[in-house]
Amino acid sequence: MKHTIIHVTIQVIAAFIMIYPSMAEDCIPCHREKTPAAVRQWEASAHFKAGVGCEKCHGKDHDKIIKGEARVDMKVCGPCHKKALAEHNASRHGMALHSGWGCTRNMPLRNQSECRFCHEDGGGIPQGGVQCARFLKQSSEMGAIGCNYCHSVESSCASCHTNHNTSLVIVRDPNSCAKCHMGPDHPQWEMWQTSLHGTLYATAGIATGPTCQTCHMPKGTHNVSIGITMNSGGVPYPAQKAEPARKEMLQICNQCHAPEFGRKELARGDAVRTQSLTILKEAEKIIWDLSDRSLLDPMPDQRPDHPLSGKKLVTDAQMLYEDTSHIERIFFKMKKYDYARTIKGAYHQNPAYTHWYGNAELKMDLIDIKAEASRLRERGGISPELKIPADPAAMADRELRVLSNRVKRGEITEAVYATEKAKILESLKQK
Amino acid sequence: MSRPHIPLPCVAFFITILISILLGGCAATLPVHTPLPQGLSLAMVGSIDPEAPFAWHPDGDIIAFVRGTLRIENLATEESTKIDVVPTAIAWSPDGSLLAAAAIQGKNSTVRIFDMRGAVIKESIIPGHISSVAWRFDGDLIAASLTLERFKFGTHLQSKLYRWNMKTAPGVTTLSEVTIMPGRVKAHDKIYFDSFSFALSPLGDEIAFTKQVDPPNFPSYLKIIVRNLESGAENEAPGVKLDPGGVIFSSDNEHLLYGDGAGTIRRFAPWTGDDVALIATPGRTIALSPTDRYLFADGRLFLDKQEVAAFPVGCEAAFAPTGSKLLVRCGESLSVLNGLMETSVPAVSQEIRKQLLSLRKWRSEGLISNQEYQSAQKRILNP
Repeated sequence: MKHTIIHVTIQVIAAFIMIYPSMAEDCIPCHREKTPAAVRQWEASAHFKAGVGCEKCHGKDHDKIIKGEARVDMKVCGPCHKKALAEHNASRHGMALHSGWGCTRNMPLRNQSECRFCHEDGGGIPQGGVQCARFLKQSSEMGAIGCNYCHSVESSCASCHTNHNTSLVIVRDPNSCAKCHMGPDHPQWEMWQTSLHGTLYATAGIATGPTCQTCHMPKGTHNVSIGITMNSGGVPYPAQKAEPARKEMLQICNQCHAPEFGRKELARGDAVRTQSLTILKEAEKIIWDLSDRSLLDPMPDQRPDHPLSGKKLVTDAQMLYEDTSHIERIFFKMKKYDYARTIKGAYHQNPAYTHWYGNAELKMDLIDIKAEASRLRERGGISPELKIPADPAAMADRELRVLSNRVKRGEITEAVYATEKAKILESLKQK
Repeated sequence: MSRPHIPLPCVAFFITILISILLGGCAATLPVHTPLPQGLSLAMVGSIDPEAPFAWHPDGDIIAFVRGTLRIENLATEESTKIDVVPTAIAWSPDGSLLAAAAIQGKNSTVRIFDMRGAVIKESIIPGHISSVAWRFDGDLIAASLTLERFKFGTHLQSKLYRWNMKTAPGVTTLSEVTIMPGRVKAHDKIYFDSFSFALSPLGDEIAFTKQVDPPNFPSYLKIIVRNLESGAENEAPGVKLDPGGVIFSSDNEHLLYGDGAGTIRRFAPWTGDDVALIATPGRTIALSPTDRYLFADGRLFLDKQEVAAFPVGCEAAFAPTGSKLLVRCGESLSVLNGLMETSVPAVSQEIRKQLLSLRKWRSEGLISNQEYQSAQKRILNP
């Protein structure tokens, strides 16, 4: 009889703990008053139902929690959500903070220990193929809101899932992606919303209208990079990486479309990307040519140092939108906004973004860049229309440097370089 | 007591004897060890301060040297101008209108520009000990300066190049710097100053200088560096021992002659790396005639690599720009060797010079190869 009473008591307590796990803790009574919304959300969450209480995620050190030193990041979630973490880490989201953080090696006030965020001790190359970024130029406040609110997705599940409410309804809604995937540089949310996919979702619902999650997180995977064939800057992956990704995306498209339809649609997107990249490269070449001739205003060596590259001209993913010349500023818009809108618009089947917000702007940017280049050349005394004859030695000097830089960048072959160089040297004949 | 009377003819006789002895004595000390070849003659100029600089004026008649103070002397007319300065380095401007002279003042040097009458035209104070001054072209003076600071942990030696257009303050670039370990430090600063050599190419676009290297596990040694002033590009001759030799550019601007510290004058082509032994003499001081036919080193005069006359080993010399004369300083005597079979080098036009400078700059930067340089140079000089 005594044993039966003890056994029943234990079962009741266990059942109660399972039903209301926080009863085993001291947090709820106070927090029901101090943060009632958080408690309410938790009580409605899957964590509550699974018996995951406050301590499990937040720990027991209340002082640490108050100081904000007990953040619930992926190290806390990972042990229980191993599959999701592994998928997340394999995706572009899994390197978001690193890519947004940027390398601080040239920052005068950096904390020495933060090198380990990306590097092993003594390692010069960052682990995991991450990119550094332009955000180093920001103030810490601007960096926190304008950069890390999005890039913290790398280490914070709550970035999408919210803090206490783990409802899948939230994260399965495209609006949860919109926080970051919108705006002038990558308006995926807007272009999806105004595409046929988005219209179907708005009118006929999820059963007919695919969302971000339908195509980019198929079967609930946390690897959001499945099926993507280019990097975040729109540079195509090499074939060995792109081809398997394309097959993955076609399998997703084929859930609704005939295989040939999906293949052709994505192939059109590829063609638009190639055509747009050609326009972009033409503009980039003009800027490098101006730089070779010391015609940028100001030249990189006359500006504050680029945080990563110092005095060098940067037009790649680390390009800045401040402390540059005007023509580079146009190129920044062209590359980061208009090129991105054109190609992402094409892959999201949005006509207006592909054409008017993207392609048309891209082409008009090129006009602006050419016009600005003409102005700079004229100012530098090398315009073909200029009536005053330029100093031949200075001209030859400049042309040689331009050729040398072009061969170094792989724009011309060694043979072309030798031929052009010979012409310049020939022009030095005594008159 | 009456004073003994000496007849006037006797006084005249003794004075004549005395003058003869003095003149005879001077003639006996003319600093040549071997009979001079036919056609050459040596004439005494007078005394000169030992180790002080001396230089030919571009016209080939006027010289500048130091006897107590700086002097400008016309050897043809015997006109002389005294200037109240004791320089460590002097240089005539290419057009001969100005004379630059650097003098040490404590830890600094004063560079003054004088006209032919000895009047100061410009003056500037430059930090350190100036060992050389040279004109790149009219109105563009360069000066190599050394500073030496002694610390417990070693001696810091720096060489710097000052460039002065005489309109603004001199600009400076570092040539070399080294901290010599305490156990290897020499007691006297002069040893370091003397071990520094500096030369400017005839076209005025490249310099050569010595740079001391003090590696932890090997003995100290000197490097000879060639720097193109237009591009800043450098090349170095193979390392030499710490007993330094002189450094001079050949008349074609393409080679550097230097004493390798091991008893040989070598010829080094900085931009091809070719380095060959030229003459078996230490080359502590080297002078070249305008077309390089004559070479004077360590008191020995060579014509087309054959020794034609020998002076005491410590003698130094400078060939006149006109080619036929050699100013020789041996100890405290200065003399002129006349009758050399040498001519002056015709000056190139400004346009050709500019093109050559461009070509040399491009070669130094690797924008064109030496082969491309040679063929373009040939085309420019012999159209």
